[in-house]
Amino acid sequence: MATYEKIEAEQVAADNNLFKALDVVDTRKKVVADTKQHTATATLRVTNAQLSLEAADNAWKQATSDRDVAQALFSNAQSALNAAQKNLELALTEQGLAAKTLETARKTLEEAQQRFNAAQKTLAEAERNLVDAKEKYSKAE
Amino acid sequence: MEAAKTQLEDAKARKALADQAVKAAQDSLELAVQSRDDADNALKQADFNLDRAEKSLNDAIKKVAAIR
Repeated sequence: MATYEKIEAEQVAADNNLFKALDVVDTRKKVVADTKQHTATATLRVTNAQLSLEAADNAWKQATSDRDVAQALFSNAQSALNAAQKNLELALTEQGLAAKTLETARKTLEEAQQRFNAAQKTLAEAERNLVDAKEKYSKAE
Repeated sequence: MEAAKTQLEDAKARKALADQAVKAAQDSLELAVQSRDDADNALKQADFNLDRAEKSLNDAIKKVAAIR
């Protein structure tokens, strides 16, 4: 009987040890599962953050490129504007010169017309004088 | 007097050409000003977009650094 009880006690002790060991295994399995879960979550967060970083980096590069293009377009437009202003200045100068030339030509024509009128008047007077002289000459003869 | 008339006609023609050139230059300047203003607005928009992109990039860098 004593032997039976001893064996039974050993079996109970062995069972208890087995249960404890199983508990330890279960606990460690849970720790491993939790760790895996945390790792997966962290990996996902890192992946998402890296994707966001990559997208932000691409957007920044594109914005930088767009800004460079806009700067070049602005410089070109400013150069064109400067050239247009210069052209206008030249055109206005030419217009001023043309206006002066036109005014001078008008005055010249006016003076020529006056000289022509005066010459015509002188000619008419000379013709009258000639006629008078001829008449006087005829009478004298 | 004929010479003076010819000079006057030449001067009128030259003035008319100069008037046309001034009008063309004014139109050209107007277009150039419009183009410059458009380009200036585009540049300002590009600056704004670049600032926004830089902020987004800095935020993303901070997030990655915080996770690591």
